[in-house]
Amino acid sequence: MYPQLLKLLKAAKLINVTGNSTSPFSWTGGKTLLVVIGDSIDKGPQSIEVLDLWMSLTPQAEKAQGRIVHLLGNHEAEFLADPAQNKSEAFRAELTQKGLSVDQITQPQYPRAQFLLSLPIAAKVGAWIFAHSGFYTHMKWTDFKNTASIFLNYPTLSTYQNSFFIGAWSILEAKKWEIKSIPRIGVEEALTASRLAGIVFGHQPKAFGIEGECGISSDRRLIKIDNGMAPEAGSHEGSILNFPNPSQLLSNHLNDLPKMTVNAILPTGFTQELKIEH
Amino acid sequence: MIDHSKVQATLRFCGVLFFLSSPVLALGPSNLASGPASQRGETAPVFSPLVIQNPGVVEISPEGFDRVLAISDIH
Repeated sequence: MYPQLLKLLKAAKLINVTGNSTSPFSWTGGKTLLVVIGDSIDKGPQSIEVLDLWMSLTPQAEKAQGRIVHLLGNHEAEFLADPAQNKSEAFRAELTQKGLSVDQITQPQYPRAQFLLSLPIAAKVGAWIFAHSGFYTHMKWTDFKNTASIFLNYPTLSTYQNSFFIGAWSILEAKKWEIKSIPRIGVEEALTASRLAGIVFGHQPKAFGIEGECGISSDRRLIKIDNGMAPEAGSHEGSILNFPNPSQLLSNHLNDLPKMTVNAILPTGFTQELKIEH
Repeated sequence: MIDHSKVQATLRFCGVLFFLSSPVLALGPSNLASGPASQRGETAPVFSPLVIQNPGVVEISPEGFDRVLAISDIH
């Protein structure tokens, strides 16, 4: 939800209000890397404002030697795969209400479509993967990277119809894999095979039995950050995951995980320890 | 007699035509945003080709950043 997002970004000292109508917010995050793990659209009434905010802040962050990396969520991929599908009903209604056409969000001559069509499927930051559903398995990272590159080099809307993007067991859409032993072991084995430490994922507001806040698995390799900000997930105030010592993300030694500092920035600006899975 | 200079000039011309008509150029990010958004009848921020994030995945070293943050499912 857009107002909650603004509150969080201000609390994390990432933006200031400029009062300028063409660029209402300025990046104040300096050398911060902010990874947005998808699902900026659908459900809420201000998806366009959210998209425009990321598009406006992304170049500002780069100029300040920071960076915003916005990844695909299943809602972005599903909308691109089939803009007429039921899940995007609220988003289409928002477009109509704002005098925008679906083409303006999906056809590459328009800037918002350029933004959506440019989104990567995952990010690797040091030894950590960031991906929407977090269901990373079957492939070594180099193979996954090459496959994603083939799909997304010059994507068309039909690109997103592939099961690599959407489907019950995709890296954007899989659910409850973290509570079932076989898929969870598969994910952790895939991480180990690629010398990776862990995964940060969204998509499931109740993952690990934790609702309304960020959570971490007992072995500290899996971090869920869907705080349930969407109306149907409880309109929670949300939080921003924070790694205050970025160099710690470089280590793929499991022995280092307990020493890694990670917390959540709350709308108040205070930080909170991550809740550990039940 | 074959006039080699004319052949070379023709080949160069064909090469330019091929390059201009190539799908890579037509679809490439640098060709996507042609002019300010306001001239295209909308008010979205122009998304700079300099920060196109594709293709596929992003790999970043956390070194050099003061902190790494993440957020998702804003909707």
